[in-house]
Amino acid sequence: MSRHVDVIVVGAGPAGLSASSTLAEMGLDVVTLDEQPQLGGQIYRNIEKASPKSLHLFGEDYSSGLMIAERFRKSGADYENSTSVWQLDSDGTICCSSRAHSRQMRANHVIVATGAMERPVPIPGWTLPGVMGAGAVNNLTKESGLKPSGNVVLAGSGPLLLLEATLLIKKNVEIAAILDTTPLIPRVSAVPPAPKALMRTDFLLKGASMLKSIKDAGIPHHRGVKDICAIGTNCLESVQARCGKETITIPADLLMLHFGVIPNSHIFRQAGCRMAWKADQRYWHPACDQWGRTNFERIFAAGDGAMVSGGVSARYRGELTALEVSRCLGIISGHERDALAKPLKKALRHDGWPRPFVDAIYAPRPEQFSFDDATILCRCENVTVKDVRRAVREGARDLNEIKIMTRSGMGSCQGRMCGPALAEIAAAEISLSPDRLGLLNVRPPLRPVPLEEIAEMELETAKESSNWLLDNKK
Amino acid sequence: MPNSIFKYDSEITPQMVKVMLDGREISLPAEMSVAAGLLGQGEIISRISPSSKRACSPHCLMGVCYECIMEINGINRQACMTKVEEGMVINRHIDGSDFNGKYESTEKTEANVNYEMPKPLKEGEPS
Ligand code: FES
Repeated sequence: MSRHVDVIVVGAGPAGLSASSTLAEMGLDVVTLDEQPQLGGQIYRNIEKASPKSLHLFGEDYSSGLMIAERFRKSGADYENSTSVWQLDSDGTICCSSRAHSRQMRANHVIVATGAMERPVPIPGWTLPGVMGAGAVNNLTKESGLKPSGNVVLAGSGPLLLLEATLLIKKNVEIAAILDTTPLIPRVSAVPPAPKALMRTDFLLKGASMLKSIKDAGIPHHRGVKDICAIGTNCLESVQARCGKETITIPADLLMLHFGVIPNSHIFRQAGCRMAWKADQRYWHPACDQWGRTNFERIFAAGDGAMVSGGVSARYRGELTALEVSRCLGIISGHERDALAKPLKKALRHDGWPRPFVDAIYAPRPEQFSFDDATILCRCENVTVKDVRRAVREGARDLNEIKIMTRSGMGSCQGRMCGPALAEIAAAEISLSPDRLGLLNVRPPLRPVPLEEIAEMELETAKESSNWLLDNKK
Repeated sequence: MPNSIFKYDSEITPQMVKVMLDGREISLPAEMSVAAGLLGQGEIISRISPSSKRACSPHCLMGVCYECIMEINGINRQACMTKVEEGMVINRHIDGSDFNGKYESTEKTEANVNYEMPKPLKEGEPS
């Protein structure tokens, strides 16, 4: 039988946990579903079992998660780990799978807090074993106490790249080089928000100390780097890049890539939420109001999954969404909501001061990604950049058309790894902005689910759903 | 054989359990994901890509890339989302042998391959 609750929260990172806690503390029936085995999301990964050393290493940015986790545990929200939501419908019904069992659940409201992921940027050789996301290495450290050994090269752009470098330095990992693709001359758009960023000296000091620790460690920090390339036969052997007029080659066992973060938006797209294009950061996000309400009354978006602004902000935004949901459910009045929201909004503003400045400095620029014809774009289906360009030349003008023609985006990851670059490549071919080419359709199941599991599901009512599998079940 | 690219922090002595990896018994640390456990043992290859036939290693460690798919207890699963358990049977089929367990897949269903004309998407605020 399918269960009915007041609110389902998808995701147990800062936004999901705060939203769940706020609602459960009000006495509402809340279920928090998270696909990871442990709560905390990516930023607070493994927080409940973190060793004192790990808490110290990652500092306050990480340890502040303890409080959030503790509050959540006490709040009375029902927490289900290792549970993947594989379908979300606009009426508040979800299908999820956990421990080889799928079921349906329904809620008055669903708060989706699926967080962010690293922007996948294909480079030549990025499918070689030994090339990983920088976030992946960060996860390994938090979760398993593993640290890289051998020749480690970091490449890409963004504050998190430098942050990761400083963490590795603290762990005595030798970094062979940092290949920074951030353009040497900042954008003009970085100038107007600069004064606001200056009001957060704590933030600026943090940035300065990151750069200092990289310098003190004597790590070659190449800037304005272009054309990064991973080289090797069976696994990574070296990294090559262009640095001004020079071409540098660095022997490497591990290449950590990072090109900023984008919202994890598949679930919104599957549900049919209206998506908006954030032109300066070049990503799609669900269109929503200040409370996170999407175009569907019952579906809310919170945290970095709604728009990337970091863990601290995600927590506040999770709470704001929870306040609005509790107002919708008649627990608090509009006045109460506003009063409770006031300090949160203030904190949010304070946290957000440096954001436009940082965003402008590290804004992805199309010319930064010079995709090479032979580069594999779609890892799952082994589709190259050239295949996509050919499809565009043959007249394809929509990403879904290109997907059918090339198979890019048809593999297990459902276009999570190739989608953003696919749009960039195709758009560049015809000199359009990527948003003009639409978005890859996302269909349920969002996660691979064995057919038997779906066959065994008990459905409450035969309702017309968007899922072919469920509709044809009888 | 690729170099071991990860090692444990000296202070951490994980509790080990026995699992079967590609037909041989090995010890992996309990309480962590299969992907992390294997990386810590120097096993960086996760599978052979069915499309390119080349070796892959886990890329994202957060459930996004599906490069860590392995046959775990007879089912193809993401190793980075699966915790190590005593007695687990893990097969990576990296010697080219075929997978003969159950397939867990999204992409081959008709629902995913059906092609619909896309609706134009525009930037806008919800009503
Ligand atoms: S490593 Fe990316 S899904 Fe497991």
